[in-house]
Amino acid sequence: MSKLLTLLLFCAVAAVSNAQELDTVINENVNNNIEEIVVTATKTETKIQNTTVPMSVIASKYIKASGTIKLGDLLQEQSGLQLSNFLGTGVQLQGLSAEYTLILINGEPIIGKNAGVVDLSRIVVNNIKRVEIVKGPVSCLYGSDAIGGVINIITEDVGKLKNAVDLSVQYKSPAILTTSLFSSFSKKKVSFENSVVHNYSNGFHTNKETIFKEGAPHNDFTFSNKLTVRANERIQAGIGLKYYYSKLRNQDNYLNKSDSMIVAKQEDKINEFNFSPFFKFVKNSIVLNIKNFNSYYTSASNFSGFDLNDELYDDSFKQLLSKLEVQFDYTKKGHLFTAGTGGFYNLVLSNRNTKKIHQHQEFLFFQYQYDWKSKIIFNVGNRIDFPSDYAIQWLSPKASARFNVNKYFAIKISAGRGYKAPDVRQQYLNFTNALVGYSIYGAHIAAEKLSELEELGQIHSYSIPISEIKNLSPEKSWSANAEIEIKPIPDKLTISANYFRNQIDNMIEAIPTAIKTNNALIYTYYNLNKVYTQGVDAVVNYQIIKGLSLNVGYSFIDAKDEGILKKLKDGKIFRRDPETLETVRVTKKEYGGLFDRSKHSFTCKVYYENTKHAFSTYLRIIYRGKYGWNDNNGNQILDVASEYAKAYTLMNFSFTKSFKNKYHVMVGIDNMLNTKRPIHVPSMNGITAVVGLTINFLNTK
Amino acid sequence: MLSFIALYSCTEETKNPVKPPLTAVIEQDINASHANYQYYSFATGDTLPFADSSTANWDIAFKGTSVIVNGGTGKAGVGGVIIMDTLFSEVTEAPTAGYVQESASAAIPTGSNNGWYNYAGPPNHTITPLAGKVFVIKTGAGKYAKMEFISYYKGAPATPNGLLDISKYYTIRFVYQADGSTSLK
Repeated sequence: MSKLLTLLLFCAVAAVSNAQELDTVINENVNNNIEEIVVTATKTETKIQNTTVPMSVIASKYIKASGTIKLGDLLQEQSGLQLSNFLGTGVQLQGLSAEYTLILINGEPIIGKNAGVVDLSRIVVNNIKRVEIVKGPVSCLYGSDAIGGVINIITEDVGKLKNAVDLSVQYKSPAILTTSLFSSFSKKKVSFENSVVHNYSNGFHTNKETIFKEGAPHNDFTFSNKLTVRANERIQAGIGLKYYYSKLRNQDNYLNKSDSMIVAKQEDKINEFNFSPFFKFVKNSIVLNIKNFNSYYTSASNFSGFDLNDELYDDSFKQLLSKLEVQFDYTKKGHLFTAGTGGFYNLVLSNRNTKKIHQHQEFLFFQYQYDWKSKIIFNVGNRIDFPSDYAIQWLSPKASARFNVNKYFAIKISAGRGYKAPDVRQQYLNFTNALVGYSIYGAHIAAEKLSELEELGQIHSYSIPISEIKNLSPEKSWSANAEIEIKPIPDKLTISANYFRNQIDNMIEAIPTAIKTNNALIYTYYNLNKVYTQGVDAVVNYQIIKGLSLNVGYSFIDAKDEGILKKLKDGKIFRRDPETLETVRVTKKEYGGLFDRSKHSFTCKVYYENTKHAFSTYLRIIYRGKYGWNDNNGNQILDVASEYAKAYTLMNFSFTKSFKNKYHVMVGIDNMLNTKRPIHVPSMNGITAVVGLTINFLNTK
Repeated sequence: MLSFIALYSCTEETKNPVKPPLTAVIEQDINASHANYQYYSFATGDTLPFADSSTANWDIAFKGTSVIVNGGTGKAGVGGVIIMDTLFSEVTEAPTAGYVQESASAAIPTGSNNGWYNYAGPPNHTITPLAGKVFVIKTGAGKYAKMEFISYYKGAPATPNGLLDISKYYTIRFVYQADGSTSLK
């Protein structure tokens, strides 16, 4: 903690001393995001200061200044967001697991999830326009998964494109090279954008004792295009095309216990192809959007050469999603009315499912917003989903309001429901791990599978009878947010604090259902737990002088399982002291809540931009408090000190200088404090040098 | 075989001075790695040979992670078990009824978090006895005892490692009431 205070002090001193030096610098007008337009909160273009829900925006200049390539690295530096590193990188919002964060690119979903999570390292952000983050449920517009919130990556320009060709090369020690080429062309009626990003690494170790390199050798390639045709003032149409390829390969030889050489190999391959035509019609106060989105994803993952026996891990997965959505907006005199409808078709083929899975779902959504003189804005909305596997509909209502009391003070309040549909894995998984000796069956096939095994005489006993196995219901939440925004110096200093509470019912969990005669356990998914998360996100944004800004964030999270709280109250949870072997009852105070959440976290960012001398500096400090890691004492809850991962602080710094407005050089040091967590964050490299060069070959309006 | 006797007792105020409190016994390293069950008697505080398996002499038996009682299908005794979620010291009276016996399903269920242990899975695959599970046992001869599991590894190491430590060695703590009453004080 004292280390952190020193850092914050350093941060403040750096800001002040910079400020003194730069008093004399008079720059051309730098946009302070006063009229920033966002699209995620209402699915329409809205000024950020008129939004009724907690939201923030990461502007492209900050992404460029930090030299960040992968979405995960960018989100890690944001206040109130925590990364999780289980089967790929995910991000938690408001203390909810990464599966409850909906990640979108230009409003469209990303398919190919691993254990419910989109791996953030699949997404490159070095030429996007901005990232919009809405906290709290937005299922009222986006449907499933938007319980904790939505992170929407916006790659498109709102206005007309310029003619530009940019080539960038970045090297990050010890072994990551990124090459990108961006181009955009615009004629009267036609504009075209293309982006090619290649990310390559020959791998590196962060922990010498492991077999595989934690920084895995990989090769990934993103190729995206967008063609837009403006037929006239009213009609616009276009096509988006994207291809992503990634290959990860880890290989090492080692001696096993009996001194024979073993070759261990890991190979993961991903292919993703997106095709998305769209049509937009605008007339006076009417906007009509028709969007079609098609995505095809394949992945193959293979492990071999492990010593325990010859069992191979071999996983193949294919998914096709096709979606059509029509949205109609009508705006007049402060009234906004939105109605939308659509549907999607989802096809999943995996060697972990028994058969091809087809699903489709139709939906309707409505939204009404009234803006009274920009003083009071309120918004109500609802979405109805009709999933093919269920006879019932799912409703996701939400209401929110904003009160701009005066120029110094504003309040935002919102309440609504979010939901997460059971995924294909939870419904149809058919997986047996012979090595460890267990099977998991999806809830929709478990009864059939268990009956088959029983006929073969392979079931020893049931801990839950077959008749109790039901088709899964969606996980549903009730959430509330209340935010105050104080602007002691309007346009310069903003202090905001948001209180949130999310309550999820029907959480889906795999629990043992039966035991086979060979003692292997069979698991099935059930709707079981209730979990709540609550806390405060506080942010201070201070434009100290022109060009110099300070952003400080603090986040407090309290996330607990209601079932465990009940058991603790009843005195039904115990722990054995490993030394004395004495059993004691766990108290409510000792319960540390859900694993993988830091109760306290901080971010502090100082950005300085000097337009006269064409350079910028950007310092980011990220503190993550201790968080629950693993249940060491077998009582399944977080209750003793040894079950926590230690707190850590990361400090990243970068400097960017432009020459002739054509050559942009970037040098940076990531993780200046050389923080290492080989067990808890194996991919965390120590002190890292970053150098980059961008050349604008062409840049005309 | 009785490695040590703990001076651990349930020090509840004894209103009836005639009966001294019962003594808790810690039995260390019962070897359950044989092909057959290892039979055990609370009354003698010792293991029994396989020949005794068809008698009412034994009270509990161990093989791998499976634990059985001497009552029910194919058993000569009248035993059974009741599993309670509580502290060992808080069980002072054995229930008179409700004992589960061996049948098509095990009286003490196997499986992680299902009966007496938690299986941690990879990387170490450690088996840890569940804390706060007290097994009230009706013995083969119809007397009462309470028992808890302490370790599954030889020597009851403080922080066992499923890959390095020798498994299938039970350490248990029990209190046996020899007078036939249900009092476990």
